[in-house]
Amino acid sequence: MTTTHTLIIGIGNRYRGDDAFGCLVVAELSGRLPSGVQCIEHDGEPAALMDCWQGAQKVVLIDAVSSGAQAGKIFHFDLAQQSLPEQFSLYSTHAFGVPQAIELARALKKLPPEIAFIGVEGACFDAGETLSTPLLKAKEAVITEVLNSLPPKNSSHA
Amino acid sequence: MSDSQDGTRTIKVDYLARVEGEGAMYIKIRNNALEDVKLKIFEPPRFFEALLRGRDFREAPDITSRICGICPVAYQMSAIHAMEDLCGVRVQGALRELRRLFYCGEWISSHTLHIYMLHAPDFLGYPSAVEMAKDHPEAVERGLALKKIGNDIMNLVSGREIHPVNAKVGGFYRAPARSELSALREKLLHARELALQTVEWTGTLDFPEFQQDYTFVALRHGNEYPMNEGRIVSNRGLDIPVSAYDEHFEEQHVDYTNALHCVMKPEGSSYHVGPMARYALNFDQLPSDIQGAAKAAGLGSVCTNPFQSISVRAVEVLYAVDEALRIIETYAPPEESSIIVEPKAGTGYAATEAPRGLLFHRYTIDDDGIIKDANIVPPTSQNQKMIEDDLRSFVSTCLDKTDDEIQYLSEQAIRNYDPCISCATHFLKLEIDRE
Repeated sequence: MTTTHTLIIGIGNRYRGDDAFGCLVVAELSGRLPSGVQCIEHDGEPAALMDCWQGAQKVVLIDAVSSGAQAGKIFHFDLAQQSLPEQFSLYSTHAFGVPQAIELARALKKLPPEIAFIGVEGACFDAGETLSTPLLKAKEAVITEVLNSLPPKNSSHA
Repeated sequence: MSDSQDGTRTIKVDYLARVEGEGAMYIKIRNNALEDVKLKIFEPPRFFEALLRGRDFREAPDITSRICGICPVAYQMSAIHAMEDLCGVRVQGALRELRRLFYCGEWISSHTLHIYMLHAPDFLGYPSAVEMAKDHPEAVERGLALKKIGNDIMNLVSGREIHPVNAKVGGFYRAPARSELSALREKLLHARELALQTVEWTGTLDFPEFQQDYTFVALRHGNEYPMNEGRIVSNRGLDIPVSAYDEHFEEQHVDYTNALHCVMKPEGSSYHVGPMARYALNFDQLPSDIQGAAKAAGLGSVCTNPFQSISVRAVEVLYAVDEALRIIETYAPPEESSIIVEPKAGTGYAATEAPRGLLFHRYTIDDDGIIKDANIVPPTSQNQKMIEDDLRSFVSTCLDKTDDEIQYLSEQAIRNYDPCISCATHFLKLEIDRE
């Protein structure tokens, strides 16, 4: 549970190639965020995910996806208005992962008022600690996009 | 699904939901009689045993924990106990208690996920927990809250709930302070209420009438409900040390599945591991109030209706919460977080009770502690043949139903076992061929 206004959640596994994308984005955002904005890394465990965004006005989820699109393609979804497409819902433990956490929270009326999803198509999810070239490029683009969507660092939220 | 002129009906289901991993089910019906059942596991072999060869014996817990994101504690514990058995070390006192607390966390988390998110929708007629949550929000929220306390325990004892990192051969890298464990007490007291409500709630569900004459196999420890230790026993008189496992059980390759079938020697018969086996063989080890809660939920001291496994899991969650409370209230930190374990050439064995049942590990190492051989037998491999036997018996009782109904009930019957196919191959499509 958080008392922060905006929470940026980077989801992934740092040791599975491009799956580390969300973790690495929030690692680089850390220390560059204005007051009232926090970022955390998260493994995507649904119960813990739903718990950690309670109290936040706005949540941004950043995750690598595997939908069959070209590697590095950046997807945007307004989860307050729509569900994640089905092709993003295949990879989770016991078929219970991030998409199910989102839909469960929606059914329980526990979605944050504003919740956005930034997904980047991964190329390789094998064991390893490096991002593929397309995702290295996408990482910079997503960091810039997130920072540009926020107030300057020294301002404060209402 | 198709109907042929000669009475053949073929039902195919390409994906069985709410199980872990990738597999398929094939059911062949001829002249309104069941002819064949096959649980096919497509998930490719993962070769963990080969990956372990050449590694240091101290690496086995962290390597094997990667086999499963739902029951990593079980893999760590079986690996650790096998290495300690091999090296002649026995960990007692507070470290043993911490291991048991660690296991309680996994039972609570894993069982609660299955009860509320994967299995309950079957009994209430929903395709998923998400749909169920719209009509039964209080139940789903109860499940989420319970799961979280299991996660909290694993986080505290071992750093994180998925692939935890603090357990090691000889103990833990760091033992928590008493104050850290005490901080869980209030949450666990609330969890106890939720767990009791869960047992009561599962008792209100409608179960298909179906009984099986199971051979139950589980650990039995004389003084406690089994988690980390015990002898391997059955309801047919088996009572052996874990080191004798290979003399009584055998893994067999079956051509239609990538997971090995484990059978009992010499007949090659199926057997049942998991919550129902533990419960049947260790009912006397449950506190009387938990026995009472089980009976109030419609369970006898032995449960032979696999559909009621949801209630048995709920009883085990209640027990695990109780046990966690006991450990926390009596915990005194160990002087050292681990004891030194020196390698010794030989072979070590261990079996612990993963949420889905007996998890056997065997390792051979050399004098330098290098792993020369490893064998891991997960519960779903052991239950695979039993699941087929259940389906063979159960589908025979419902051949008058439509193919859609048979499919629905068959999937439910498979989920009775909470199969973890990633573990066993370390996925599921259903195909019914009816003539």
